[in-house]
Amino acid sequence: MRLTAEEAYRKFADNAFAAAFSICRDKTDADDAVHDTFIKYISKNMDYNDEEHIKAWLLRTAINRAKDFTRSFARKNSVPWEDYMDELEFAAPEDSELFEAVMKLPDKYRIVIHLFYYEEQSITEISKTLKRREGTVKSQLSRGRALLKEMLTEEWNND
Amino acid sequence: MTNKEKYQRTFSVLHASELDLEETAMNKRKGIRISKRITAVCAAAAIVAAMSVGAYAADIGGIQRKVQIWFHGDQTAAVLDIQQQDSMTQYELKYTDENGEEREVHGGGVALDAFGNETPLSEDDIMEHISNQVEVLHKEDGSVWAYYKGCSMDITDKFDEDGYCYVQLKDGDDVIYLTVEPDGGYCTSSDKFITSND
Repeated sequence: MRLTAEEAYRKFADNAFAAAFSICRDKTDADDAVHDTFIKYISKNMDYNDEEHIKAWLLRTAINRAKDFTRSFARKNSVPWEDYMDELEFAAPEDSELFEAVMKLPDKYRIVIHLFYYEEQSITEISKTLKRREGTVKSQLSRGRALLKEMLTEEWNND
Repeated sequence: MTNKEKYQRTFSVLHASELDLEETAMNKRKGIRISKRITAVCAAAAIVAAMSVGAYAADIGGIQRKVQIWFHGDQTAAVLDIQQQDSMTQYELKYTDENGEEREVHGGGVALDAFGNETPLSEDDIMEHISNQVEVLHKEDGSVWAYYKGCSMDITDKFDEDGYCYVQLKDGDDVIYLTVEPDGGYCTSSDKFITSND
């Protein structure tokens, strides 16, 4: 199956953006990653098993593209995430604390935490998305959670 | 409220910017790419080239030449267009891939000297950058390939238990030490294996 680019964008662009942002912490880079991802989606004209397959491909591609940007030397114009955060309208004050805590996590934990809590991916799915070993993902998730608990104390449950 | 619910509520404020997909698709058919990004290149280091959405400069009369590039281990004819500007240099490389699709690579930037001063890249800098690029490709079938000039290597089974892959890529007398890291990133050096932590 295949969704039109418009359908895929409407359904999954925000997911791709959030995943890319959790890698690069920069709105422009995350937007560029999503843009590139959809150009690739249009170009490749691939056949997918179902919508989840499309979403997984888009997430993986956006994440990899965002990683390219973080390795690039062209990040002079990047806006600090703290400044971008001021533009966001959080539903509750504790949400901005959680956002800030996640942004302060080391890169390797941040994306694992994001895929687990936001995309509700399992350890196995995260392992496939990031091409990391399951054991590595498990320990990174555990360490990321522990760091969030340290920063957020009672605002973060022991789950 | 569970952690998952809190997390999802918090990050639901992130939204991708509007993108005119119709225009994007039309531009692709016309072979036009819209300028969004210029990848700066440090002359002292090997850098990932800016693929896909790159800077498309209007043709204001630069240096255009036919060149041979390595693409996935094969020599491929390409057209290189170099635009020298006051503060930086941009290039556009057009070639046809193995599936017959026309591809464009855009990049450019500045060279940094030891004092951090920036100068536009020279034509030689750009040619060296293009000809010495290493590419690591994660294919849809799960295999991982490394390419360097005329050398292509299936490195799928060469990752150690920590998820790192260390391989030497040789093309004649030219040797590149490639380290692929667990997150898919990679580092290259002409004299030893290095990682992003070095």
